[in-house]
Amino acid sequence: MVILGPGETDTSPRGNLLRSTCIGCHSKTDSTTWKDSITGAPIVFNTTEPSYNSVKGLSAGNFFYVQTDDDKGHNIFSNNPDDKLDTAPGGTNPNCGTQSCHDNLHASNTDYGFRQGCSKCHMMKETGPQGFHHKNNPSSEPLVKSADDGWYRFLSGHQTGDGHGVSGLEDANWQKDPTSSIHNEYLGYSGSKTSAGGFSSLGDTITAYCTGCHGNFHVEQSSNVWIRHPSDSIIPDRGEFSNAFGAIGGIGTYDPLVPVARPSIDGWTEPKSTVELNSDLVMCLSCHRAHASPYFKMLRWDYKSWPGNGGTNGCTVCHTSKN
Amino acid sequence: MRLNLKLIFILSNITIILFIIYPNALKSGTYLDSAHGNTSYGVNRISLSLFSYSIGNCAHCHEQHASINGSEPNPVSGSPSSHLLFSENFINQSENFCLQCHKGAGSLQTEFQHKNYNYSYWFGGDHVHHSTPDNIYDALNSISGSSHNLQDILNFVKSKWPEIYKDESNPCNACHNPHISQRSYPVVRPIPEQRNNIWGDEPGEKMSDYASAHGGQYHAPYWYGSTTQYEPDGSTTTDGSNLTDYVTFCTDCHNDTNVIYSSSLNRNLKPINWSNSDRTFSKNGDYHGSIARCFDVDGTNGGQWRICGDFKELNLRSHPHPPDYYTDECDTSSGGVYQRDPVCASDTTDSNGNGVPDNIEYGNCYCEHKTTKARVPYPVWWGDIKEPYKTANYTNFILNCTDCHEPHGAINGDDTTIPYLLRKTVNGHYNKTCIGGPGNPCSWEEEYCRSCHHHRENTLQTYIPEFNFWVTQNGAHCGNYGNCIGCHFHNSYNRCYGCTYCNIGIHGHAF
Repeated sequence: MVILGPGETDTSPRGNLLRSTCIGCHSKTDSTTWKDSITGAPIVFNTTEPSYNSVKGLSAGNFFYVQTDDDKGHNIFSNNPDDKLDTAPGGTNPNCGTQSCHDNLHASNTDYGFRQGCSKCHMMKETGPQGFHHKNNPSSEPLVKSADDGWYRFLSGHQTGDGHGVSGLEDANWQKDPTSSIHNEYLGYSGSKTSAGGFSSLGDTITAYCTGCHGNFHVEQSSNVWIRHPSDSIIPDRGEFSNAFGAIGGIGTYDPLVPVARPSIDGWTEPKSTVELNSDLVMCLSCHRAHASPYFKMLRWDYKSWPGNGGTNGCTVCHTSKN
Repeated sequence: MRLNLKLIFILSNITIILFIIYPNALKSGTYLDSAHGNTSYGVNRISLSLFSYSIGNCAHCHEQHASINGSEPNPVSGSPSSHLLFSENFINQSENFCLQCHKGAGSLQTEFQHKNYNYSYWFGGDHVHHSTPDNIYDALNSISGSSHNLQDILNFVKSKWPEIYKDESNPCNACHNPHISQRSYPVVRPIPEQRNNIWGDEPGEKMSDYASAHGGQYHAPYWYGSTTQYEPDGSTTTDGSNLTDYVTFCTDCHNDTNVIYSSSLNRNLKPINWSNSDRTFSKNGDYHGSIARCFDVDGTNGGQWRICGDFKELNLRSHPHPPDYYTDECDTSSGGVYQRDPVCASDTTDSNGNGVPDNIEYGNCYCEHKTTKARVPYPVWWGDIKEPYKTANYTNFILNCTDCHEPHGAINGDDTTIPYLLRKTVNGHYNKTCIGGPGNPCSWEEEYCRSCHHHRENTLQTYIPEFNFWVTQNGAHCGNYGNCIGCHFHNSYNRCYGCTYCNIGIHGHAF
């Protein structure tokens, strides 16, 4: 029996003997389910607003918010295409065929195997989505740093990034209830600040992955002066940053609202509860959620409404004198 | 007591724990207290307000990716700019990031609830004559007038504090910090250790503090249109306790050690030493600064008019006065005690050939004592200080820079030339076209200086006791008049003849 996701009506057999699209398994029509009770699949799309935690979603957010507002996330819905953008902002990659992954996620691309929605980011391979689901990655070994591990959240490279993927520590509950000591970990690398990034220059980092579609946003400096916000820069222990994350003596407390990347995660068996200035890095996910969030531009807090809303501005976690 | 200690201990621990769990939850810092960060009147770029960004949001100035919704918001330059700003930080006097909003027509800010009128308007109270300039761009870019030259500022601060100011820096930041500057306290000192401290908002940063620390007192000028209200806020406070110590602020740059080139004046700026209290000739310092005044507030010296020169026969009668050219007026008027200087009288030069020597015909000779040969001194009126300073009668008035200068620029107008960023309204007095007549000098300088000083008075008489004679002076203090700043300028320590009174017979300070 085919499992239909919200809004899906096609009951015809799926390719590769699959019973469902990605959404079919990773969605719920209620607001409270964050993990499928049978399959254990993380729910990334609740058709009613998530209410199971304060951030209203798992670590990457929830596609609920992009259903009605394309400003709030990556639109993966084939039946409700993105009507704001027709290409990835900051995009530098060549057009990989019709409806390239680098242009949008909602439309189907058949030039490199059938891809639509989630598979335009996850399970990347030249010939089609690859079966990282079959990689065994026990929760007792959260470090994921190779194709054999299935890469972090099945995020792998291709073409110039072939053989590369994202490295990190995966929280067993996808940060359903994160704390300073319970969260994902991400690899970072402070590389060139004048290039469009990519795995070849930034290593197996999450920032490298994002630059696959948003590379121009990684052109961060000109004549050693910042021209865009850094996405792979070491947070210095000086000036206002010396108080970042409440740091004293260069050591602060990890804040899951504003995650940082680590220069190395080799050998890590659990996340660290601290942030080390002059070592840890700001990255794309320090500010954005990968799927969608309740906020403009999939930010992790309601930046656009600040300071009028009197709420939290995650920027000030690092920019401590700007609150 | 034990219960209270327990409670304090528990609350302290809860606070620490909350801080560890929610370090980002701390609120209300310096930016939110700043003018730009204010949620009612802070930054609000038109193109960003269309996306409903909150007033005061960082994005009104900084574009994290030089793109929103896939395109660059207005102004569109086609490329990202330094410091993530929405346009180039600084190019020249008119092309400047700050001026993209702080301008009149074409401003990118939705509105200014509090227009950037000049100092005379907001802090001098003159809302009558200063409806323009109403923005910083115009103040810095007047067609005629004077203003701070932004490139000169950048050149100087880059060389002075290279650890702070770079090629891509904005010279406005030498005086302001856009993240903390407030409406009432807009300035931040340019020196590295003070860049994150608003200047003027705390005890120790007031003009009263500066004055008392330098052996003097500050007295506020009149608020325009009033003799009971004073700058900078129209209150009755006069001691500077409500006024930023702009002297300390300005002299971070404008002191007597820094060499600052002015491309507008095509020379280095004159040095300023506001803190030296030593009146000694050749030492930098000013009477308007920490040097105690030399004259009494009424222009006399212990009730006596100060002497300028010696009394001439000319003053006793009008010359020429035929037919008695050769009558010795000195002798006649004194009853025989004084005489015409015989050396002078012996000069027979007769330029008009009428048979009467010029010195006799025009009364050029001094009156001297027949025995001692001492000349009769000629007292003159030196001018007095106007209210409110006259009544205050402090021994040492120490002025604030903004008592006389506009911070951004001054615009010519009403036939008044305003160089050196001088204010057009000073001490409640608006300087405009000279209308002539007694007490109405006809140069902008006299008009300007007489905001606080009487300079010449055509009706005042002074007494010459040697002749029991009152002389009606033709105005004027000793020496020339009309071109005040020829002698009176910052650090003019060797210009003033009259200050021989204060400097043991040699020239002295004139400002």
